[in-house]
Amino acid sequence: MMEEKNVNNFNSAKDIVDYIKNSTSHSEDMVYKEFMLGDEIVNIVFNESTTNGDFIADFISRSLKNLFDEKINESTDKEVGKENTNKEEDTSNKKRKGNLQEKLDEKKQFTEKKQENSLSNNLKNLDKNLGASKIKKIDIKTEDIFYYLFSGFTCIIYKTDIFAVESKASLDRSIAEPSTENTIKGPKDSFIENYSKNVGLIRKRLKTEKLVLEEQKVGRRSKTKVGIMYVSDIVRMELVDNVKEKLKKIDIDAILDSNYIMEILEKSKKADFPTIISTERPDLVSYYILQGRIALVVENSPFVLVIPAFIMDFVNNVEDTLQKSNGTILTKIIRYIAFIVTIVTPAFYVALITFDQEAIPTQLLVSFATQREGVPFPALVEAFLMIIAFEILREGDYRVPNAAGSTLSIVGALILGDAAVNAGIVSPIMIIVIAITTISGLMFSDINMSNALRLWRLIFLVFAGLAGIMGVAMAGMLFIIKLASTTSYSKPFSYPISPINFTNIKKTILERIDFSKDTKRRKILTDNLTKYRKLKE
Amino acid sequence: MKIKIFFLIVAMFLFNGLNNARELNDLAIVSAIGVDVDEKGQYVLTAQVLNTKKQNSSGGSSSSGGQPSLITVFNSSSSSVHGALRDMVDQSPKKLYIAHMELLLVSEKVAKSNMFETLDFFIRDNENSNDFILAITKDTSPKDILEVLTPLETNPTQSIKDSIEVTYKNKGTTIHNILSQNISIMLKPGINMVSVSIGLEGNPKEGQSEENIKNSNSKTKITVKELAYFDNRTLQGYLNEEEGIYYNLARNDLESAMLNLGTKEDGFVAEIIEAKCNSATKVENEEYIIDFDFKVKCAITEISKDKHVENLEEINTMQKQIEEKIKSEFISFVDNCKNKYNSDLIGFGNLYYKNMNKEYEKMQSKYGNDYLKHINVNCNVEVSLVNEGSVMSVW
Repeated sequence: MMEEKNVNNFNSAKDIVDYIKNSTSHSEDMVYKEFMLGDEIVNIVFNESTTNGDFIADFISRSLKNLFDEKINESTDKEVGKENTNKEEDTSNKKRKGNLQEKLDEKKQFTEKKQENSLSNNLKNLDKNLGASKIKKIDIKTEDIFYYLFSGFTCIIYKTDIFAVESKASLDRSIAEPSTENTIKGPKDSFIENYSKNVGLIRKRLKTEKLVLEEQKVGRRSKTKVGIMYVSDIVRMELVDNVKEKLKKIDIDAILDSNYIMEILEKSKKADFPTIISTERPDLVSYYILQGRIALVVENSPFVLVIPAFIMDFVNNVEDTLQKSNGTILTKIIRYIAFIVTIVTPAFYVALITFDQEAIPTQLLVSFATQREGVPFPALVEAFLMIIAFEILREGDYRVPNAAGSTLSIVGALILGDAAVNAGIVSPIMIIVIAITTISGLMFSDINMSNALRLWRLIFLVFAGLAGIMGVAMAGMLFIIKLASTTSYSKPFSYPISPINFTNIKKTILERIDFSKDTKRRKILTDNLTKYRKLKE
Repeated sequence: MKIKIFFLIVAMFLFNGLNNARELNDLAIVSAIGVDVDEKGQYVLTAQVLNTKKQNSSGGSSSSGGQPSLITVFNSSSSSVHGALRDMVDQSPKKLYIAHMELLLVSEKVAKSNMFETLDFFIRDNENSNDFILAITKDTSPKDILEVLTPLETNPTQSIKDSIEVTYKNKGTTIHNILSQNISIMLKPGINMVSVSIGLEGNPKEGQSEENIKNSNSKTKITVKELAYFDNRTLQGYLNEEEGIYYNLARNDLESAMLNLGTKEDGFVAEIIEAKCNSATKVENEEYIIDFDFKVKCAITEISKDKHVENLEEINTMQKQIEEKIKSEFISFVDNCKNKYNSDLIGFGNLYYKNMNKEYEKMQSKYGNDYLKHINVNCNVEVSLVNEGSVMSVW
């Protein structure tokens, strides 16, 4: 970008405007305006699709004029001596400010020189004189004026000085309920596509000066802001430096969603499981930041990334901390069962039915055999067919417009549930197996996690189809090796199960410790351990 | 390189498994096998196969003749058990799959000659698990029993298995051992094996047809009979039904039993709720004495009209009566073992073998296999009546 820029010296505002015009290839949504303030010409450039037109009309134009008018009044009152007369300015003044005409007539002789000086001074220091909340003087040689133009700034060009005033149009939806991570209790707000609102949603939960926001711009064309948020006295700084370093190295055309960052940061080729959390719940992000993790807020993405991640973050749910601890034990156990069920059930079924029939109780075996009577495919093929059919149904259900959703589910339920069985293509028990598997998989809301589970389900199934229970055991071995060797930013992914840590297992696996008794943070993430101080009696 | 080796190992495991794969559709699940011998000395095998043919669910069960029979029986004979089993494949479209066999019926004829030679196949075969029940068919052939259709339970084998278990649990006259337990008893020194026996009531031909289970009172029934006892690994005969209770009592394996005491006019019925047995072996003056100590909890379930349960004396006499009855019956059972059956069923020798091994060896060298007659049994019974019922006297 920098080398494309015409680095020759800009001598006037016109040069700059021409440069902008040429660089944008005369795009139609660029607006160029000339303002006459006395004999000074001020150029205003903005992009109408990303700016708020009302704001520019109401605020920028008016305050520029006011600036000019105030100067006249001030100098008039002070009665400073004059030297020159500038008729042009006088007439233009008359035209615009009829109500001030009389005053001006009286004092014009001795005001003009000073006025001109002060106006041009004021314009030169517009960033200090204009009452806009966000105004910045930019140097066209070092900074990218187009970044400002297209992120909704209005550029006020006076001679060779450029001032960028923020006049963003609101192109965002409002804060809504989370769509992928629902909870029964707990806060119902979720991140949206607006960067500063997202930061705000976290800030308003942690009103401390220790919550730090560092920004980087990533992407040559998109120039997406990526905010690194952490609590400075909890987080380990080497982790922050590591992440910053990695972000700096990203040289990509555009970052369109936080997932781009996620994929680049986690080297996803190696890991089946997501080693970065991506969530749309601000309360969850705040909870993680307080543990000593880092949040990455990516512009234009309603998903905030959290580094590092452990497997329990995906298996457990936020909801567990919001309900009574005793009540969630059963839920947690069921979730763990579902985790295993969703991976191994089809494999286990195929292994039992094709290799190890001895292990099935007789009555059940007879029932299985009766149901499989007349099914033309081997159990393995049958399982694959059903899994593929269910995946198609599921993917279709995600993509279909809401209006057609019910049609799809009826067709899917009829075809897969009833007709396929009646036609003798699959056995009813296989439908049950796949249904249990799929439903269990729905418990894990993170899409990357459920994709990983689906992948492993197939791996288990292939192994089971080739070697029965032995195959399942082998796939299980591979699974455990994979889990145990996955790391997330040099933290073991399967912590606290493997490297085993009993205090943490006690905290996370089953019963959650009371907030009042859970006084320590986790050592793996932070050195600042105290999080709850008991009252001295 | 590492990856290559890894995949080689994986492949070794996986492709090794491939030959074992068999689809469920290709298996005929055998639920029970009966072994008999014919006049020529050939083994006659009867296999009961569970029918896994899909039933017409949409047509409704009311349609006549739509439902296939729930079992199929194959017969075959050969000079070896395995040979006979393999010959059945000629009749069956599916491979006979015997890992889920739950019952092995042996005819009296086989049991009396060379039963364990016959059983060798079932113990040795690697596909098989030894957790099926071994039963002797009393006064009938295994073929006849396996062909009978049973009411209440659609799978006849399950029906037989269940009624053996129920008899054991509620009546106490039979045992509930799987083959591996039978064999372990058989291999122990100083004890002989007993086995369940089952029999048939009614015409076996009528039992085959579906009419048998459509009638409210089935013409042909399979019943659990008395315990069969063995000596020297061959069938010798059958115990009395009552003796089964005392056999279980002495083996500390009695779940529940019922005792009839007194006469019809002046008597009562007691139910054994819980029974414990302790035995102690000792040698006094070269005499072998075993003390049995039974602790039995009973409930009165029925009394005749002259009996009264409201006074303590009466209850005490009832308690005494039960004690007397158990004691005398047990002693007479032991006497029968010694003299009539001539077989160490309770395992007196085994008690000495376990507790006083040297004495056992001495006894063996002294008396040989006749040691049983030189063992004296003392018996002490302690009965506690825990429940007399909620009715004080009889109408």
